[in-house]
Amino acid sequence: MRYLRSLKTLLLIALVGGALALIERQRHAEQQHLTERSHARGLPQLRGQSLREFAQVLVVLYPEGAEPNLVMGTALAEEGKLAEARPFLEKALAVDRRNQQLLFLYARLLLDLGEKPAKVKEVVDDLRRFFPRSRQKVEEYFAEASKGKMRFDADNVY
Amino acid sequence: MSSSAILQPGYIIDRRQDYIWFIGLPFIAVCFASISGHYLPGAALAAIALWITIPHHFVTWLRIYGSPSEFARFKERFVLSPLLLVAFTYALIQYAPLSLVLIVTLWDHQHSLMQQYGFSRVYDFKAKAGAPSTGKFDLALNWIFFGNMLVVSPLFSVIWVRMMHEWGLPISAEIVQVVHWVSWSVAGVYALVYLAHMAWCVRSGYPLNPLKYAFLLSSYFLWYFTSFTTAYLLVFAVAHRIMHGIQYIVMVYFYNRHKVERTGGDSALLRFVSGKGRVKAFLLICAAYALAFHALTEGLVRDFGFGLVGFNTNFDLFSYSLLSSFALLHYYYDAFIWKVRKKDVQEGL
Repeated sequence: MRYLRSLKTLLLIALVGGALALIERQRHAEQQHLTERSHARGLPQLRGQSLREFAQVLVVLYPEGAEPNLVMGTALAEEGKLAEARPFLEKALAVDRRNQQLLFLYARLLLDLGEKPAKVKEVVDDLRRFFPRSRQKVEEYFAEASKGKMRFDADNVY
Repeated sequence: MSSSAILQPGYIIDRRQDYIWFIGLPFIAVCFASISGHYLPGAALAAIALWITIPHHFVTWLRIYGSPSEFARFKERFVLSPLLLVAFTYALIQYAPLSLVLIVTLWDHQHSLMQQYGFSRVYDFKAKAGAPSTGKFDLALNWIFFGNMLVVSPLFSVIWVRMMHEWGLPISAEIVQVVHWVSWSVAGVYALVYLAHMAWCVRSGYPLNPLKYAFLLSSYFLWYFTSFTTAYLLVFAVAHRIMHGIQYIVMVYFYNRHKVERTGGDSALLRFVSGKGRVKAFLLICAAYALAFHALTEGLVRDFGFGLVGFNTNFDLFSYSLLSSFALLHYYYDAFIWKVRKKDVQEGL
């Protein structure tokens, strides 16, 4: 009993956490509005109609913001509307050029839209420069995605 | 009444240290964070976590586990809560990650505002300023103004609106705008109430500590400036972590030092890191802890596992859960080890 009294705040938090966990799992199962986690440190992300609704709210609130335009660009790209997604991503890039997710998505989108490799490479070079920890993976990904049309020199980004 | 009777300065440490750490630091942190946002990659935040946030957790452990008398005050909690919180976060990370994010985020915000509230209480305690009711007004001020920043700033609006959608509670732009308006109104009205309380204090003969107000203004400048002028979470996070972490480390260092000077200290470790002129020892032990924790959570410890630990997803989950559970433990302890009204706490202030 003494231990229970001493740890009551912590036990209350555990109870709240347990209740939230039940709600989270139930919502996820019912609505299917989140992606599965891709790795241990990742989080489920909004997808489909839920992502689109979220993007629409943000674009109304902050039409010039980087995040709202990135979310809208992501939602449209997910729906396969690549040409519609492009201006949103470009608007986001004009505000924030150092966003890893944004740079990656935009480079991938340009590739899928059939832009010249030199143009795509400009964006990929920003990714390599700003995010050196994932540089090797990015180079491998885009070399393969462009079917070898893009090549990366070892030292031309710094 | 003369202005010297109305204003009664009192310092947490001393005039010079307070101006550097408690009043000047937020401005330096904002400059550093703004430069980081323009010129440094996202990894800058990881560096701040390594060199400031993790050591600031460590100084809590140092105060509690390095002092037998502190440890004896809440022995059961200090033994059982690390085990409970690590298990709790591990379970949530595995089965309900959004619940963990919600709990850590809300507790982190509550912890941040309570630190500034606690320091503002120390300012009044040191200056013997304010009326008996001032503590409640300060508490409400911090809840309302910090809460307002979270609700209305573009940076945090995007975050909480996203959370609502993730939790299956979509919210329209119109409702968000109404929430913003209500939040601003509450903050505006409370600002007037707070000013009225200050005026009442002066009329009733309770002096005010100008350092407390300078401290609160510089803290809220940092939070509001970074959350309104940039949509880049890194800038806010870097500035906030510098202010929160360094101020906490400075506070605990001087708290331990005062205790050692006044009572002789009740352990060899505390005397070693907290005696006069032992700043280097204190910083070195903080850095050693940060490196050890970083190695553990980044998985480099796998190299020592002889292939028996660390090569599966469960280890990734475990090491990731350490990041959150140690933060939660720090929030939990701070909620009860810093009661300014307690005599044994006052010994270190």
